[in-house]
Amino acid sequence: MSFLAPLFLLGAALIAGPLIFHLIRRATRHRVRFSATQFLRASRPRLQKRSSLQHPFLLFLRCLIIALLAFGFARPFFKQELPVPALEGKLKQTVVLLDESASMRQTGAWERAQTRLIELLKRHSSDDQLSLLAVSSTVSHLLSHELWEKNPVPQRLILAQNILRQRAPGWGPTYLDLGMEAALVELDQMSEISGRTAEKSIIVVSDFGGGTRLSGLAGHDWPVGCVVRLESVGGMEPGNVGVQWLGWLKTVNSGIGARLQLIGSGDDQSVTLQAFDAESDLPMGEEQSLYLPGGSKRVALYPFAETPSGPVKLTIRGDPHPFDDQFWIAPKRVRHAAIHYIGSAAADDPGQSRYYLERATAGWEDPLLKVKDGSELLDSKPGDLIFIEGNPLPGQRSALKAFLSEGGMGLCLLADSSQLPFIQDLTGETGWKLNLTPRNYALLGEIDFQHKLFNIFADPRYSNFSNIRFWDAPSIQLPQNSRARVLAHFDDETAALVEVSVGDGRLYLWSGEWTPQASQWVLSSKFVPWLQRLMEQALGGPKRPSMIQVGEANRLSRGNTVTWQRFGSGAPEPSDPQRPGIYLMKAGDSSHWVAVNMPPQESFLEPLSQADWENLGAPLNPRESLASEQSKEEVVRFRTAAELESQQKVWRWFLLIAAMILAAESLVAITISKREGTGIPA
Amino acid sequence: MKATGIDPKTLLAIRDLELRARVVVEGLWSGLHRSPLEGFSVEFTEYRQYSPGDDLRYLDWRVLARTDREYIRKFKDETNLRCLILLDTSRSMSFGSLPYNKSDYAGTLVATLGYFLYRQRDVVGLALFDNRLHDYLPPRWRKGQFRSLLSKLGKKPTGNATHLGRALEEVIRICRKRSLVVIVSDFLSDPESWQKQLAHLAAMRHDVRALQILDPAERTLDFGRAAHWEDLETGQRIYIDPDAARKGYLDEFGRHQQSVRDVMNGLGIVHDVAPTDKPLDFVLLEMIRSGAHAGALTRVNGRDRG
Repeated sequence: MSFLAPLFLLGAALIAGPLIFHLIRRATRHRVRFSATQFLRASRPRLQKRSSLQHPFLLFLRCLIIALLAFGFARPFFKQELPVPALEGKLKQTVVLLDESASMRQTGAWERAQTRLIELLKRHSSDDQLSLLAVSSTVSHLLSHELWEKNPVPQRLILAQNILRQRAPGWGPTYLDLGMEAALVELDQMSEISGRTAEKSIIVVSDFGGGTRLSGLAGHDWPVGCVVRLESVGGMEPGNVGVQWLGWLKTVNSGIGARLQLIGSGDDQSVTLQAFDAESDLPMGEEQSLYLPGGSKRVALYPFAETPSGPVKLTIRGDPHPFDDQFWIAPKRVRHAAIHYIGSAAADDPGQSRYYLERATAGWEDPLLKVKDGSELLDSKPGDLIFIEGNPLPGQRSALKAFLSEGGMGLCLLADSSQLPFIQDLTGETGWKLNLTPRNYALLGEIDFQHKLFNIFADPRYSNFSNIRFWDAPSIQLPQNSRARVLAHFDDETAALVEVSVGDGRLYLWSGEWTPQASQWVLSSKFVPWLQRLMEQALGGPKRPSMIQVGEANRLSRGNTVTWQRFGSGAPEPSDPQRPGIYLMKAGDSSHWVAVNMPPQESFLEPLSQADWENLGAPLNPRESLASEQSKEEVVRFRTAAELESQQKVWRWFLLIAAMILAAESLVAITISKREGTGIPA
Repeated sequence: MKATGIDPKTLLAIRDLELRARVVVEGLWSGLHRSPLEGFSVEFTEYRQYSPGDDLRYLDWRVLARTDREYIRKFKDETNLRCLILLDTSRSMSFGSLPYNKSDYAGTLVATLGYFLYRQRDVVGLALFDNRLHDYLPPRWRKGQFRSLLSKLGKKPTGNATHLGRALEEVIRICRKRSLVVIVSDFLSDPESWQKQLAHLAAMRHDVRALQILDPAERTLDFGRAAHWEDLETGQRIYIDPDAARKGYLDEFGRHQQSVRDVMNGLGIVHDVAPTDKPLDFVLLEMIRSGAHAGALTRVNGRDRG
């Protein structure tokens, strides 16, 4: 027999009351008023011996009544097997989101996550549906709800444990917004399959480091009844220092240094930085000590004695978490290119186009540009740009054509009809015309912002070309059925910029000269970015960065076949780099070192606050501890017991018997009192 | 003379004190007419012819109406008895193991005695005391005297301790005429505290009677249960198991009663004990008998009236 409210059994201790009353011969609680107490002598209260209890039968009845009442109120029931009731009577659909980002490598976090996860899985009943997802920069299924349901109940936990045993945190960022979206999709799928009303919940097991991305959740429409539960496994030791790459910087003594941003979290930290040659592991500079106040960032310059020619390993020591103590630096890579000027203008004449060309390209770091005279056209190489103003010489024309045919790029300013034969010769199309009819001024009308030369201006904030006036810009008329493509029109619908394919290369035809007298183009804010875009196109695209983060490798490939080979390894990697290190990236004929590091925000270990989630409208369930989980089990057990107890109603029998005995007790007491004539026996 | 023996429980169930007194006295009165103890009351002796100067109050108007002759009723006046009843109203009198307490019993007894004397045209007064004399109705014979007496008796006892000696001192001061002084009390206080004053009162040639009202439980201690007993007057509490304390109590109480009797006998004072379960007419009859024996309640002077 079990009891639903066993505490009431303590009430049986009240049996001591009748025992004591029956042991005391006369109750002392009554007061008797008397007129002649001066003739009385005080008596001593007398306890009866056990063997001489007053009215033992009456005492037995009274004790029995108390015991029966205590048992009745304790709500006894006989244990039977009952199906385990669902806690809320509803199907539970749960998606567990396991953070596998780099910050989960902090000391102890992954172990705690696994333990917590197993505890959570243990507490799901047989009817519940569950899916386990892993999230970092992408989302992957660890255990789908189909697999969960397919396996017998006892096997589910073993399956989950096996899966978790094979997993380890990665080096990527924490895109929890991505994971939450995937979890919601998963919940929708569960609902569609089950077709039942369910209690939906998303449990996120993460360290919730400060670098966690949640921005994607802004304005998210959360389904009704879905709750998000946050299970934090981090924050045991939030003190940490991470490094973010800012670039190379020339030092005051004409040396070079690595400009770094140190990101601190937790308490104040004192760390040391030192660079090593990645190949020989020899120091490449002095050990540098830095102090970082808690939760702050600071910029530091680590100077090198000479520009590193090979990969560099930078170590950070002094913080409690070693997972981000190595930072990889690829050697500085510089692209060189030249603009071959074909024309007669002087470089120092402000009334000539070359003047503005040279000033607009001065000081570029990528590519390092040099404007050359067209006479050196023979020295041109892929990636250079041919700039044509006026009519090229016949020798230059053939070289130019060859250059363009081999994939080079050229830009020609069309200002005179005498240039048309040259254009016809290059393009192989006849019928090119130039209308020199003077007009007040022209404005750029339709622009192809999808083109690579203009797509950097596609944003509405930068797409306003309407304030650039063209006073001396002839209208270019294309031949019929021309292969040429107009990239920009004037407002009178005549062509302002035309792209023509010449062999494998391209020639751009610009209407008018690049002088302030001809137009406001060279003085506009659009000129230099456009020119840089033009040079990038000549060089085959923007410079591929040599410092990237884990997960960013795919954006370097640009659709080309790229292979990665880890430094020191003879074989190429099977996929894009998934861990920090130095890699040799090969794209076609070119190859260069690329340093892959973990996202710097992953080093920031101070956890997000609950308010960050609430601000995004996430339907948070109060974080439940293990104790509360256990209390839920208690609730289930209690409900089972309550069900049994309500079915059996044993307590009614106890109370009925108690009532009968109470009646008997009253009769006995009255009989005794009548016999003794002293009122109801105490 | 024969008493009916009215059960006090039944009698005291009557709320009206006057009615109680009438019930007792009327019963007793009829008995007295057949009693050989004539002369206790006012007695009619003969008629005589009216002569001028006679008090017209004694003219028999019925005879005059019937015969048209003036006759004067002649009485042998035995009254002129002056009686002062002293009633104890202390807290100890509020004790009772019966449905009524000693105070109820004593009050009824005093009312009965008062009514009896009033009907005899005797002068009766009342003095209530506890630790002092706090209410006093001078002895008179007048219309409404009995009602005034009843009114005084209607008051509930409010005092605490009993100080009979002090009350007697005041009686000595205010009651100079020779009188019948009936003291109705439980006399539970130490006799030494009132013996001297009582002797003084007796020495003043007052006819002093002591009527001791006791509850049956006070006489036997067949009462109560093991508990804290509280003294009605002092409030003192002691734990008493009556079974255990009975013997000692009876010894002490017996000694006290003996000393009271000794004092009374020494002073020549009639001492009657009236347990509250004793019919009141018996108590009254015993008083009359003892009074007749002592000559106090008989005519003190045989002057004829009328």
